[in-house]
Amino acid sequence: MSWRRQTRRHPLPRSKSIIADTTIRQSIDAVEFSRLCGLANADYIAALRMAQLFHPSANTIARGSILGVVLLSGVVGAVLWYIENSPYVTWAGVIREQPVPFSHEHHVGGLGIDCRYCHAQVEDSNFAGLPPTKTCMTCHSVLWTNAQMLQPVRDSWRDGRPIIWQRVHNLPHYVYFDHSIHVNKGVGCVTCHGQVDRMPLMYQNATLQMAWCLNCHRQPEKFIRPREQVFNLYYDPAHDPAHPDETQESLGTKLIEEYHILPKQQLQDCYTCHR
Amino acid sequence: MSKGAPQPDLSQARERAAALPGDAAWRSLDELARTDDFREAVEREFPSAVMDFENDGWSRRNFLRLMGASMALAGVYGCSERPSDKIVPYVSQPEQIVPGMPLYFATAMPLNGYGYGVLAESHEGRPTKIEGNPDHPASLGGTNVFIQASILQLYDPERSRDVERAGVVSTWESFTREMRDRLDAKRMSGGEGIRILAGTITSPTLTSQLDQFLRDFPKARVHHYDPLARSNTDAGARRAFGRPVSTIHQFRRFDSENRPHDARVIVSLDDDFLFENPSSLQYSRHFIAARQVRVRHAWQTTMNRLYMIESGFSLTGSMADHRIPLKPSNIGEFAAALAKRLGMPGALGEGQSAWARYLDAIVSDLRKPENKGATLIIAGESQPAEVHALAHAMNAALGNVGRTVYYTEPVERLAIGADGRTISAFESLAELTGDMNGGRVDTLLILGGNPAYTAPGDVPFANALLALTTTKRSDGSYTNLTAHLGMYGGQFDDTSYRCQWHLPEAHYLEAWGDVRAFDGTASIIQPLIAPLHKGRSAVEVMDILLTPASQYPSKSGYEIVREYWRGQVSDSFDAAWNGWLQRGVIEGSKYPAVSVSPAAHAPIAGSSPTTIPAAGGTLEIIFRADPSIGDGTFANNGWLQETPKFFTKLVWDNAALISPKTADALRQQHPELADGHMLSFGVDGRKVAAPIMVLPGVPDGVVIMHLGYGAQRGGSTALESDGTPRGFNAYALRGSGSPWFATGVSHEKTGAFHQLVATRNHHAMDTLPRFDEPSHHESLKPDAIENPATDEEQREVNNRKLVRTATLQYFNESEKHRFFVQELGGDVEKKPLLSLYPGWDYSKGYQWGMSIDMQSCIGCNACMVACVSENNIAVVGREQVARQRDMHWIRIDQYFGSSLTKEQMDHGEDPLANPRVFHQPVPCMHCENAPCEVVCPVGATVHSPEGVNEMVYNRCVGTRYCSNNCPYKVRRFNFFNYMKNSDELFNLQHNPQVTVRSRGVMEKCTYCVQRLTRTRIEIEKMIVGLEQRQKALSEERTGATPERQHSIDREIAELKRRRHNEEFEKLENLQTACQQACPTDAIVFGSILPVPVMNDQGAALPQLTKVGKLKQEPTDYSLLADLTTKPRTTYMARLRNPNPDLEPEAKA
Repeated sequence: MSWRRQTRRHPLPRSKSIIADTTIRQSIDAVEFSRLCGLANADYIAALRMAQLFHPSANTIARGSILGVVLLSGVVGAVLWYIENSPYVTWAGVIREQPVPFSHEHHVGGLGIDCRYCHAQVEDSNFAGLPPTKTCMTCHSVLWTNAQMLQPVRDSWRDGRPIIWQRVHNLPHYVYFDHSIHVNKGVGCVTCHGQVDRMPLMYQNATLQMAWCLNCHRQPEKFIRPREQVFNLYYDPAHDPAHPDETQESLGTKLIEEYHILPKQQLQDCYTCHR
Repeated sequence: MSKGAPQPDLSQARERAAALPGDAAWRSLDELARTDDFREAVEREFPSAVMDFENDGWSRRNFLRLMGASMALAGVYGCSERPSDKIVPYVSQPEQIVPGMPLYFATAMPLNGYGYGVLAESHEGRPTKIEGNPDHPASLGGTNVFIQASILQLYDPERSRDVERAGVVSTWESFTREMRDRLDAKRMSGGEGIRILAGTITSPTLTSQLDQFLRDFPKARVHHYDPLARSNTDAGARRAFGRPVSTIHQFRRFDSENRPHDARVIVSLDDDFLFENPSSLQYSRHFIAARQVRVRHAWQTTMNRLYMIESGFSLTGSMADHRIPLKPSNIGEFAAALAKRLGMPGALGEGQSAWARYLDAIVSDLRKPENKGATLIIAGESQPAEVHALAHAMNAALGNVGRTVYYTEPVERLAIGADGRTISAFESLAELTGDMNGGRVDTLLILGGNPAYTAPGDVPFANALLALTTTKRSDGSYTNLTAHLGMYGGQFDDTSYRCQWHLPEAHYLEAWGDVRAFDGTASIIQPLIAPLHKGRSAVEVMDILLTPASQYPSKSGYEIVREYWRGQVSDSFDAAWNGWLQRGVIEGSKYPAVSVSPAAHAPIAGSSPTTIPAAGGTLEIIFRADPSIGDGTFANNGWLQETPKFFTKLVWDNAALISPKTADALRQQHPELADGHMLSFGVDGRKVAAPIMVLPGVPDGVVIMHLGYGAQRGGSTALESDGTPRGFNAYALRGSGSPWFATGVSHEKTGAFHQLVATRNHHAMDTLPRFDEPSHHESLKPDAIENPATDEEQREVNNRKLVRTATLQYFNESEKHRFFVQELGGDVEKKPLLSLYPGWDYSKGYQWGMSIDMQSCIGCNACMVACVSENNIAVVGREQVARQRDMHWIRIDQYFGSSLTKEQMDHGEDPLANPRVFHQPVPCMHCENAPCEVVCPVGATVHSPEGVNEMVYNRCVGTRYCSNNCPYKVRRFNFFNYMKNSDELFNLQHNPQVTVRSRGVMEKCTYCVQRLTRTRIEIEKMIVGLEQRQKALSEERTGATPERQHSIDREIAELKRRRHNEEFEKLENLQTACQQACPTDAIVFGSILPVPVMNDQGAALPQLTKVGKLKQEPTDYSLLADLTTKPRTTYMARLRNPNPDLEPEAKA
């Protein structure tokens, strides 16, 4: 017999005045109760004399609160998850103010300049590189020479002072991303950077969170393209004359073999990106 | 270590040492005496369990409060915005710079006047790391601690930033004006009273400038003083040959067909040629190359043999096959006795009777016909000229000249005395001091060094300098001009403090210059960065003195150096110049051998008693440069201060080292004398109090003192935190007559105590056996190691032998035995334990591994400092080291072992008198079954498919379980955010390829993952590029003309060959930082699996890389193999080559 059933049959007195009128019956019950509970008699009397702290409804509230905590933590978790993935935190889709409002839409989409004209070292270095002022001036020493917008470029060229750009794609410092190996193994620019030819002002296309990185490191076949298509912003494996009858996944699987892409286990290894 | 640690009970230590089996090794006297400190060090890895926040000025309660708050805010932190960052591209990108890719420039580092060729790594114009230049004879790709740490000095925030005049900031222009006015006024008088004090000078440009200056001002004089000047060596050569020459030893020389010829028997008379000489990197490379016994993929089964007769305790002594410790005063006598036995004429003594068996053995070895012309007698700089002269004479008599030794014109600029005689650096300084006191000097320019601090105690240079500086005319203006070109300003430098002018000196990575190596090979010093402050080099300052006022402004360092060298080549200077800069060596500048013959032996024989001290019963002191901070130049270098000095493993301090027997003798007068007790030592009335430290192996009756500590002024690292000098100043006891030792030393107790911090007991591997049966729990007591009850236990004890050693003879007899190295340890390895975890597939890709050859490791610490430099490792400070919180990822464990034969043991000889020393570098073992990985609750340490044990800082929550469970004790915990208060300038040194760790994370050796990732990426890019080209060619082939097809076939074959061979080559060139720094190739790293290499027939055959080959050598063994951790880092046993006459039955 449990303690619980006992208390239900003989509810404990509710107020101090009732305790004063303790009946014989209650005393007998008390002896029985304390025997059942393994309590010493004196302890039970002491328990009787103690004020009751909780109303019986507290039991229901307690039960309900368990559910409440689960629900609440779910809600808090969802909110945190939402915040964590929101542009407020990740800066995805947020346009940064730059000293010169450089338009990729105009230069890439409109003029068709190859990525490597400015990001010249992307195939050789971990850092894709930002063009030195000299690269801008190859054209802008003769084009739009009076445009107010380009004044900082001309100032830089004249004074020998670099243009200070706001970094758009900013990985944490413990991540050692290497552009060259991705580009050499068939990860297209567009895969991470999005359709830059439709970005009048540059913003970060993806969240750049680890989960996003792992998305590809866990299933590279969904993203790998032929090396010669890396800089093509409109590559579509379904309509690639060089690889007829291929879907992205079947082509990707073949290319993984061909480019000796590391086994998935190793692609997800911590030291692949962190050191 | 608790304060006032009891001195290890020496008699107990001796007893235990005598009871140990012959090949047993022990870390320290504490281990032998089983002190409480040692037990605690082994049993409790983190001894101070109570967290202390005194350093941060935090209370424990404060910490808990903030801890609670930070827990609550942890989630909020996760939501914080990403910090914004800037990108600053070039205006016009220099052609060779690819941002993100480091560049390497060849330059040279001057150290005590001599040049070492180095390659400096530069990240977008910011030098971050120094490596050795394989093309430079004084480096051969290796480095020492000073070269590695020199990069930190560049970024030292306490280096002076301005010209100072009488302690007030001034300008170069005012100095130039004042100096010029003074020179112009003196031009008529020929420069009477002008003095220049320079260090050891080998720079051709500076030499020519000084000579030019003396032509302009014939009455001016140039003095040379360097506390580590090689005066005895020079004087010895002059004595032997009657003219100054430089002596070059060739431990290995290559003949016209590039075959090596080794020196087979080497007798060193107190010369630490593996560490202290300007030639030590070459000597150690060649000396060790002749000892690397290999029988699997290379064939070398012979070794050279080294007899070391020494008064100190040097690295060379620790590598010797026979080490004979003697008092410094006895070494000349020993040399004379050796010379006599070799039949040299002259009045030479017989030597002491106890030496007879050594002398006989050495002579018979030297006389062996097969060793004719392949022996070498070397005398150390610390020995007086007579001993050098004897060595020269013996080398000539043994036919070594032209083979193992040759002579060249002197490399240094000679110090000339007032009488026109060549004099020593010490005499030169004494002469200058005399002139200063005699009023014969009114203009003094000190080019580098810190002579006010480094002057010997009997030369009152500092006082003379101060008096010279402060002399004033009646109108209050200064009479004399004194100027000091130095790295540190008057606040931090004893010499600058005493000079009127302080001129900031440029670091060698900041200014143009040139320097010669020990063999005369010249290099251009090429700066990597513009001076961070207003520093100028010595050549630029000399140019101020040489340029007449009409030609102002003076030339830049670049123009000066180029101008000098333009005069040295006849044509196409620019092409030659570019070649020199690229290779780091000036072609053809090595000095040719000159033919000299020993003068009459008469001056050798009558060894003048003035310089060879009389042997007496009293103590003798020997002075040596500090192993970590040199002569004091590097006192403000945290990396070096924290590098444990070999043998003592002392950090941030120096001590007076004495042998156990000397300690016993001193205890007769000063009972209870213990490590750290201060004794006041006196030489000729000059007294210095120094804490003593007992070190087995120091010759009896000798006190070893290291120079470089105890300067009155220095940066915050050089001084104690309260601004008092760190350590004691041994220069004060030094005498200019015999700079390297002092006799007749008095000593008295001061009653003071100084806590010495040494790491010798830190991170000790627990070698107690874990006997399987519960009944054996009793045997876990340390005594069980010495007295195992059963054979089974004995085997288990042996299995845990960390140091395995054998004689060459035993090796050659038994190496074919399958379990050779296990037998050295004891028994064959146990069968592997069953594991619950699924096994890894280690048969594919690259599998990284390392081999550390204990045969080759000379214990020079270069790898430790290289690792610190490469991996952004924090300096934690003396107090933290005392709590075992040193952060080094690779440590050098040092073990002592008995060198006594059984016979000597039975005679009751002291086993602590002359122990053998084994150096064992211990990085992370990267176990295939890593015990650390399974205990991490958050998966912060995991295994990579390439066999690397990875540490993920962002996951680590700091439980330290991994470290508790690591049997090798290679993990380090960041108790504090040690990098937080690091100066911005220091931050510039950081390697951008490695994360800077913060408080509360575990860290450890990563096998230089940044380097191997880079190599893997390079290889992958190369392969995919070549294969795509190949694919394009084969597509072109179909439908091409037969001729074209033929050429395509050839091209494809070539591409295939390149694909394989370049992969192999890139893997072979991959080096970890410790490996690259090692001067003796003791550390080899790479992929242990064979890599296909294409032969001429076009077949790709698997070929082992260097490390794979070494792992198949019979001497290869794992530490604590019975734990079945399967470490990727393995060791090679130490082999010795003792003379069978001296040790007939030696096996180990």
